[in-house]
Amino acid sequence: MCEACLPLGFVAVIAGWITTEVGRQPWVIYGLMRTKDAVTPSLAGSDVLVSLIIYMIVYLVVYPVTLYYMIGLVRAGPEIEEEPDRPIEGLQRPLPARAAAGAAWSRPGTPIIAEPRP
Amino acid sequence: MMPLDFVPLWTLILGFGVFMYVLMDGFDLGVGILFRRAPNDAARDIMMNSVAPIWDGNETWLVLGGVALLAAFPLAFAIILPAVYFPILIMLMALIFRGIAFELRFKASPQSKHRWDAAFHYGSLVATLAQGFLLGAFVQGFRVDGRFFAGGSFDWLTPFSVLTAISLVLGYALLGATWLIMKTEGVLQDWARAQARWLMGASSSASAS
Repeated sequence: MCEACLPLGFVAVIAGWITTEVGRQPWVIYGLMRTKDAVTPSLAGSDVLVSLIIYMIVYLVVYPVTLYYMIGLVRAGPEIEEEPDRPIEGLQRPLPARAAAGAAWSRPGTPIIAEPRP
Repeated sequence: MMPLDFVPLWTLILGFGVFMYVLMDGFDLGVGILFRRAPNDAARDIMMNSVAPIWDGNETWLVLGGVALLAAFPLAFAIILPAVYFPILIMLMALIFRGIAFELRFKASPQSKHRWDAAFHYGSLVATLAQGFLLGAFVQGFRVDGRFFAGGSFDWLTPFSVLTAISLVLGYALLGATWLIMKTEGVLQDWARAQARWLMGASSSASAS
């Protein structure tokens, strides 16, 4: 049931957007400025078409790719960190810095091993 | 009491914003421009991570520039934006690919990592070229009729703006190389030093000509 409700938020956002954009026509600023007065004179219809197509291509690439990685993350599930043997702060290995993380980051669930101090 | 004159004040704010943008986003775009020439993959990891925590903060100066221009000088905004419609559009699209490369490169499998390398490199390169065209067009001025831009959508493409675009790529690459000299060590630092040496000459001769 909850899973089926997942898209509702997106539907609400898009519906609200369409309402503001379509509902205020023929005004660009309601009661103050007509949409026809707000048109950029130098911009040809073909320019607008080209930019719309560029937007569509970029979105059609970016969204599926991001979705692919999101699904991958969900499939992998949360990483469960092992409890350290001795939960004393000074004995734990420091978290890997992001700078060194190229490899360490993609390795799931590196166990934190408490090494005794010399 | 003398009334406060907003024009010089906002000119200073805008000038400061543009200066900060070129300086700050310049070096992280420069790191992207140098990215594919890097000696090895480990060096690329370090290069990307050296700018990962700050690049989006640097880009916020661009937002300040755009919004300040709209709010303080709406007439200039209404003329400049249509005149450089395509450079700005292409810059934004390039910045999208560069931005998601930061997020997704470290999540990609080893086989597909090179795609994000390309997204980061070409995103940075194309965004910088677009900014260079914008700069060239701005310096050359726009055809204006009354309160509107009267030229065509591709007036920004001139031999002069091609030169400013190339100069800006070299200049940002130089900033990126100096950033890497400051922030890295060993092989990568030596490599960045060698890059900075030839970029110094190339960017100064490109801007001089």
